[in-house]
Amino acid sequence: MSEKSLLDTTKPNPGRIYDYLLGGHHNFEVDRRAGDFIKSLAPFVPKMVRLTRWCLQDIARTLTYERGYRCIIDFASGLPTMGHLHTAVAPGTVVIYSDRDPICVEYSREILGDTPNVYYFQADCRRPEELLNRPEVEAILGGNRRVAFVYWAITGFMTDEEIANVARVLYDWSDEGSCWAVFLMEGNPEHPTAKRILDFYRQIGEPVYYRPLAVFRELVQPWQPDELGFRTLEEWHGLQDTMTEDDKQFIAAGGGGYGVYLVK
Amino acid sequence: MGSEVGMEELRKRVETRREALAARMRAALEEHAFTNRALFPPRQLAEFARQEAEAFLAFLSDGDEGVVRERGRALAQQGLSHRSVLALVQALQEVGWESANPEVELWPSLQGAIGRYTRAFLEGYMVAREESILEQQEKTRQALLRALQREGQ
Repeated sequence: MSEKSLLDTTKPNPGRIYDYLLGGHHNFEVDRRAGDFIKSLAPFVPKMVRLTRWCLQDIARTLTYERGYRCIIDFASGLPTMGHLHTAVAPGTVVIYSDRDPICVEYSREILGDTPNVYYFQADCRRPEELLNRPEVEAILGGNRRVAFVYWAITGFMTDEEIANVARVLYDWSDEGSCWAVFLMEGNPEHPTAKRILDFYRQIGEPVYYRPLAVFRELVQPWQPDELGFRTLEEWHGLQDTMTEDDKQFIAAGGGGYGVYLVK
Repeated sequence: MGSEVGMEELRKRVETRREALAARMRAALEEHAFTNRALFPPRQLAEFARQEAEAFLAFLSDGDEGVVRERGRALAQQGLSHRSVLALVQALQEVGWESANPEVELWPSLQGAIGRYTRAFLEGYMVAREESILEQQEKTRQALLRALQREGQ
């Protein structure tokens, strides 16, 4: 999707649909209609969106307080509202957000204002080198390349080739000991509901890709999962039975997907 | 508000049901967990319920409606849903009634205190919700305008 079409507020935008499903107000009528359509097909989706979003606070704490990362670089960030990474990191941590949606970037900069150590750039998560090689980002990092990357709830919008390319770029760019927190969206593309949702996203020019865990593991090579491994959203939050049997049919064994800390 | 002695007596009475209040509030929050926004992940609901129970007990001690209003405002800003709020109010009323039993003559005073607490909480919550929606609406408009201007440059 081009930047121009991202500015077209007469068409639904995946980021704003996500915001609506999360209960936010940074969305337009067309996004709300789209969100309601998705909810009507799959009532579990708003739950999944929240389960996914709630992970961010854990990620921020784990990466900075427990694992000592001083810099987090987040892709396809959306709006840095309450509950996003910078609100839960250890003091002094640098957080670099990015998103390709120009409205989101402008809005985010307003939200962040002069928040120290937090930056927001326009960049496409499919081409992380464009963000990483920006002179401003290099200046912020001051040569530090032992960093933590975050790709949360976005890989479902990326092709296999794009994920493999991102994995390689991040791996080659970063220093030993770096980390990549990533969420794999999983679903059963043969389920009738899933088919309709996939059709919908294809129609708005933002195709969604479901892929099994085994494929994802291959795509993110040479990154390796840490000792926690790939965790479903329910495992991540210590919950049980958040889904009906039909939900499970639709979103496959992983309960909507897997979160993981990959390490170099 | 009733006399100070009255409030103190009410506080002592509700304090005997402190654990039940926190548990009932936790159950209410869990029931509506998926209506909240970012800052109320399931693992933190127990702690949040405990804080909410303590907040009511503190109100019975000091009767400070301003503090309660600020709490409602803060929770709205953090994304607590209106369904969760209504469930919390119901939990408060249920445990309040149980606390008054069997001396039902205590109930009108306790009901009055719960009413004052709830009104202050809801007032803070609703004002903050409305402010937040209007603020986000304006920020969205400005962001769109700036993005369009940048594109036109």
